Amino acid sequence: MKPYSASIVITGMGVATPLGTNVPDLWAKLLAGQTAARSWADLESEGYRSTYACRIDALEHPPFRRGQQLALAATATAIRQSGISSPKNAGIFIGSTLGESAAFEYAATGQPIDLHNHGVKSIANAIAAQYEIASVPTALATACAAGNYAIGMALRALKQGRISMAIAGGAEPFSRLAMVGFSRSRAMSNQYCRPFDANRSGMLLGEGAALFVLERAEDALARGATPLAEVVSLGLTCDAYHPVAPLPDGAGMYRAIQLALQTAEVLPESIDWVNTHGSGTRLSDVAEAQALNRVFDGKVPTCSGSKGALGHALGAASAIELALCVQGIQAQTLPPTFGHEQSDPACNIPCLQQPLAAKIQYVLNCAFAFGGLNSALLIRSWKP
Amino acid sequence: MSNELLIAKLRTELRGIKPLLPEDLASTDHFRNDWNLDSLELVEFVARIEQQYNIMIPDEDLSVLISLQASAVYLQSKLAN
Repeated sequence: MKPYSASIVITGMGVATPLGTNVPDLWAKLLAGQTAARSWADLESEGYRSTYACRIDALEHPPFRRGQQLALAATATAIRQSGISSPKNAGIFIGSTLGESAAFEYAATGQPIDLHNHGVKSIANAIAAQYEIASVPTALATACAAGNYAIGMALRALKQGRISMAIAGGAEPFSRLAMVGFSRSRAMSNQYCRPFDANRSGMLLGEGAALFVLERAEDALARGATPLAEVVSLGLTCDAYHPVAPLPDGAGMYRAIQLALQTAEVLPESIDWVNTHGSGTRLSDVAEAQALNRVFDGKVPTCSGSKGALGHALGAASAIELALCVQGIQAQTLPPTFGHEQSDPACNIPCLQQPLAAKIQYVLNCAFAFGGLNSALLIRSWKP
Repeated sequence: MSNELLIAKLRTELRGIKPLLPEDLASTDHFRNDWNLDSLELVEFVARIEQQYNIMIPDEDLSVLISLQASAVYLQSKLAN
């Protein structure tokens, strides 16, 4: 193993989202201003308070294995794009909130089911089994920041020379448990999610997966691969303040972003684009905007958010958004923010409403989770 | 159901969420101002009312539920409909 390589790069990525099960489709629909949000008949008949959500239609999967299916589909695409011949020596890092939520919902009805094989690790184990990977997978149940955590752990393992390549990302099947929980805590919109908008009324639930192949740059180049982007650093903090509410001034979020920048020795003015967490809730959006204004001293770079278009895929959200960041770098284009129409003066950030062609080198991917878990992943365009 | 009985039931629910509240919590005490209940505790209280009485309380009505007395009046009106 080669320790402490300077550069860790993404050489393959795959997604499964409500707006597309490959990156080009997803990207085209996002740029066209589409949303996957709609009301669902099954949620209406089951009496949910909010019946809007972003879900993947017609996904076939074995019982209680929806998350696994999403992750395997995204992994296959990522491996194919990377061009690696065998991922047998890869480390696996998977983020998810609950794993196979349907299994836990089934158990809650009193039905007998062994839940040990349905948690977050079950999704990571499925990838290991599919590709005959012998290493012990790492499962990160760090809520809505789990995707960033997974990429960050892969980054660290690769830099330390503990693994030669990584399969990392997030996966989250649609969860009725989350529907009830967010609805009960009055965090859910009853129609569209509108990040940083004056008329926002909460989040919408999504689902999906995004998986990446990461390697040391010299290894990728030696086998003739083309890096898509470089993963630079991850900043993590915890508010230690409230089970669901963020610190009102966004201080924890601010520190996470600062940590990402300081670790990489990158100045705030170098950032070209912030992919926001932008959950569309009253409290979180204000806290995030305050954090960004503090980091950038009031001169916040262009921002976008995807949760109006894709819903909030919880543990998979930041992984899916990382795929958008990488695609944005590839296309040198920033995507619009569906649902953001009238800026909230309390959220004073430049949130894009239309696609924007721009020179993009450094991108921050922010993800902030219940429990006060804050993460900021810094990536940049690949330059040999 | 009498108002007194309903208030007693609501008091029990509230103390189930925040056990440190006194058994003789006054029906007119303000949840936030007098007992410092936070938003999470209040939405849990509302969720328990919804579940127990099989009703749906819309977001715009939450501001009405500021005390046991106010909650009982609101609930009586919902149950009457």
